[in-house]
Amino acid sequence: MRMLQLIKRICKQVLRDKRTLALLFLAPIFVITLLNYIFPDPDDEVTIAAVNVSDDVIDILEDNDMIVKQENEIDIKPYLEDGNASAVLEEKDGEWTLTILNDNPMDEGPAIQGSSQAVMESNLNDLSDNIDDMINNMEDMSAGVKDMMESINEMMTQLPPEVAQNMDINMDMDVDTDIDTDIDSEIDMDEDPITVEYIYGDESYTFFEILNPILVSFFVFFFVFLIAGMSMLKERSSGTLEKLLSTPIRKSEIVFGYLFGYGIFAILQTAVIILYSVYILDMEIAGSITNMFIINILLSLVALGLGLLLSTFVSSEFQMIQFIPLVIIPQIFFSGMLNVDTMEPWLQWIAPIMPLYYAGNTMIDVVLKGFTLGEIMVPLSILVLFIVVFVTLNILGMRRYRKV
Amino acid sequence: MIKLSNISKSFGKQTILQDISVNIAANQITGLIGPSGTGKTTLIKCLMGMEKYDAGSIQIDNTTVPNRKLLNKTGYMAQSDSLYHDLTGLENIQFFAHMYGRKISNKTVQSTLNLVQLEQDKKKLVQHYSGGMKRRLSLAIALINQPKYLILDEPTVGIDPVLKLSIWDQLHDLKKDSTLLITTHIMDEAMKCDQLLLMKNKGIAASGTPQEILENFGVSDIDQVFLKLEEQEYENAAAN
Ligand SMILES: Nc1ncnc2c1ncn2[C@@H]1O[C@H](COP(=O)(O)OP(=O)(O)OP(=O)(O)O)[C@@H](O)[C@H]1O
Ligand SMILES: [Mg+2]
Repeated sequence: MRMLQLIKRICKQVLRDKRTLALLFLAPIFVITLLNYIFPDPDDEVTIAAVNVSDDVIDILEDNDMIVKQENEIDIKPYLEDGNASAVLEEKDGEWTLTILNDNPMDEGPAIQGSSQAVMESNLNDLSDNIDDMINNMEDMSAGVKDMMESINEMMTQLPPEVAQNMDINMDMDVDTDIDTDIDSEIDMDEDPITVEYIYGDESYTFFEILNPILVSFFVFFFVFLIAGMSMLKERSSGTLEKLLSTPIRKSEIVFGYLFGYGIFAILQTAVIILYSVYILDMEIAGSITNMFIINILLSLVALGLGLLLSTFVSSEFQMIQFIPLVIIPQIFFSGMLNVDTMEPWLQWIAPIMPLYYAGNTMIDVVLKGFTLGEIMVPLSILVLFIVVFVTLNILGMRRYRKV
Repeated sequence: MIKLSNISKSFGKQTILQDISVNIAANQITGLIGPSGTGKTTLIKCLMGMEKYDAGSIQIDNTTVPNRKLLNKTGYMAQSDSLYHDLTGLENIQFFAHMYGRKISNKTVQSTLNLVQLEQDKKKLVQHYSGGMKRRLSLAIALINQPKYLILDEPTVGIDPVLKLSIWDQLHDLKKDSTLLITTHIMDEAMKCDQLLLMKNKGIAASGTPQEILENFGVSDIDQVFLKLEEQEYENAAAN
């Protein structure tokens, strides 16, 4: 079996190349770990200094797990620069101002979000109080009207029948008014003016939670692409590909040998990245880990095929690196981090030709939304299609080195 | 028997081979000689099916090249070493042995390594081999499938004189079962060939046994044949 021998040879070479092994297994773990700690924990508390802020807003802020320092007269800039708080919230004549140092975008989000929510909530509370008052007033009013009506009714019984008939319509109208007021006052003003409900999960996702499954796929794609491309390039530039093709080996045997030989390492790498993310970094997954494996193993085969294919167009390692900004980086933008539906139409056309678009979005579906295998069948089939296309092109591409 | 009929080959606008027709005799060593850049390697790559020739036909054992099955009975040594530097010599030769599909015994591997005197260093990584050792390993790999057709592109570059002599003895022994085509720039090696093909100006300028060629041109060594050819060309140009 020539293909098995080829696989055996590739395994030997990779296992001997400690640097490639490190690139395959340690580099992704290093970067994922780094990112895990770079992005702030959403449970971390944010400190806000409140100047001239009413108690109910402070209550709401504290309810939202923020540390509130009540201050009076402070010089905001030095106060923030000394690290006393992440932001200062101030009210002056009904105008709210939130001052942020703006030297760390990570603190900014929670501070802005928290305080604007608090201010909005307190405003809404005020508003609902006002509405309640209004309704009470209206109810009083309508009670008054009712009383009046009743006395009119009484009066009417004493009127001659012709006159009473003319008054009927008005009577009906009165009844209507009565019902309307009832309905209005039934609308219960809850304590929370806005209730946010999430369809998937029970909390809003932090950027990292969305990023993490995408990153898993990205690393699988990136490193496998690079290693497959580089090794095929080496095979070509060292003349061994030509020598290999001077033996009766089939071109398809070479391509599949490469696919499976490096596929073994791609699968191991995928397993290491996924298991590490899930069990060491506690990445929460709503769906099944098996589905994560399926997506990424398919993706790694796509990366292998693409790496092998593109390596035939380059003549040096450096030229292979030049494909990274061209082929790899753009795919990140389409991998689920940004919403493709809201992009320019021509970008929406580009997205479906990118393997990471399918893998990244499907990873989000599985990891965050718990999609089942049946629900991700379409993107998986498209990944398989990519593999078939790349393998075919690779076999055809080998014709450059041997005509049969 | 290898039969080339009206072979032409060009790279873009540059014509390298023009209308070459020649037979390479079975069970003989045929030397392909000529100045650097005349297209010896190109001709060999056409024979191996690695380059597409533009016109004509190449037949080996009545099978038209390119044909994958033919490669089973062909051994090829490229002009540049084509070895896996991160494998040992033994692993290299075993790997290529497996590529021929049928089982190649350990004994064959050992005796081939002995032939090129690499028995001692077979467990070393090729990246630690010297230039001549790599050349010898490449030669061993070309011989590993005991090919009927052996095509060697400058096989003895970087090999010391003593070993070179023993390798030439081995090559003459191989004639019993094989047909050999060898390119070389070394004239005393050319003299060891049974047949010579002199390449010049996109074609074969002269062919025959070394003695025949020397007699025809009235010179005492092959280098002077090329000088004569230059002169003839110059005279022809002047006559036109
Ligand atoms: N792939 C290619 N593309 C373009 N030109 C090529 C290619 N391969 C060879 N050539 C050209 O063909 C010519 C013959 O090259 P070839 O390697 O066959 O020479 P050679 O006779 O083997 O020379 P040497 O004795 O130096 O090995 C050279 O001019 C070379 O530049
Ligand atoms: Mg050459």
